Amino acid sequence: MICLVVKRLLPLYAGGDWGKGLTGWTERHLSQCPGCLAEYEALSAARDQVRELAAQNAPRPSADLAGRTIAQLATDATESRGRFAWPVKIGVAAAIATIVAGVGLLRESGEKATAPLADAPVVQALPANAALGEENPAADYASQFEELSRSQIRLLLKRLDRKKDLSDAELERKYPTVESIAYPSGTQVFLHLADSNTDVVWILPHTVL
Amino acid sequence: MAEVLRIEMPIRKRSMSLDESRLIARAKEGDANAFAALLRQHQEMALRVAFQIVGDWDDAEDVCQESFVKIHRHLGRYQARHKFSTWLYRIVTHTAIDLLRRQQRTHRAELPDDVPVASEEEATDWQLSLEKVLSELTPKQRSAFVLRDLQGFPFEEVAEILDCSGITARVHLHQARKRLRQRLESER
Repeated sequence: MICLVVKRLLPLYAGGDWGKGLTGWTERHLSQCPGCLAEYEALSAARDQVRELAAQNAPRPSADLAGRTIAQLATDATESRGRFAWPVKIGVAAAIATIVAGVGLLRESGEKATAPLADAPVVQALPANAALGEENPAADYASQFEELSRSQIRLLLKRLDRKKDLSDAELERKYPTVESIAYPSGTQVFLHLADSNTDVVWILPHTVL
Repeated sequence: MAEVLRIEMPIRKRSMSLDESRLIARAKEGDANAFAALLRQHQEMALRVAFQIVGDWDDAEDVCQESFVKIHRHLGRYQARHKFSTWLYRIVTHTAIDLLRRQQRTHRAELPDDVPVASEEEATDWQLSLEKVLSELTPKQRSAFVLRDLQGFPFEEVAEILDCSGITARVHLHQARKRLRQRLESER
């Protein structure tokens, strides 16, 4: 389970986009797990390779884009002065403002409608990789983690699903495979949901428990 | 204990200077010289970001110029509680993403025989390689990767520039790095 979580989150760790609370134990895990370390090194090498490709070329000497823009704005202003009378301009501006405001409202309502987990107490949710890593047998390391109880998992699922009225039987049907791991320092909980339709790792603050 | 490498990111200093605040104030009042000076502070970086997203210098210049016109048009609405650079790169990035999406739609459509297309020989080797690698990504993934991993923007600023939540930005970055790693591995 630890390798599974670490491997899936390594792309973020490799880029430095990783919570401070997780860095220590990730480093410890990498120091003990050759499989995860190899994956981390491959990710770092890929990023460095792309950086090298980008660095091999300095930007071509650029034209004075700022100067060009000023010239273009001056031309546009001259042309538009001759083209429209003021009342027409005001009418057009009002129409555009109305459309923009309408689109903004629609967009806002659309985002709310399509973001079912927007206000869930979630730090990150990441799609899972196809390949799973092997378990790390290091007992002293694994013992730093605790599995959540079934009732804790049910509580989290209800919160993630935002359907608090789902019965236990419905939850079992919907999420037949749920694995969890809690980080005992009280900062993070990992929840891995996997079935035929879902394969996601959630990272939640410990306070959700 | 195996050594774990730490990532060293370019350090970006992005606090707004007093000069920049004055230039913005003067540009808002219609001072064209102040506006030009403001743009010149960012044009090289903006061009680089646009190029890495769209993959072509001419297109990148068009993206920047179109973005600068938009900035001029909306400068009155700019609020100092946001960094000017973040606002500027947001406009540049979204304009570049729009162009990339339009190009992808055009490439999907069947082109008539008489439409000239750039031959691969016209591009230098490195361009082909970088473009080839980055073309594996969606416009949003590519933008996130360019801003974070190539240009070194802080993660929070990447999310702000892409106009999305931190969760979404992380997903874009995660997918981008994973796909690039798979792509480069398949080349070996």
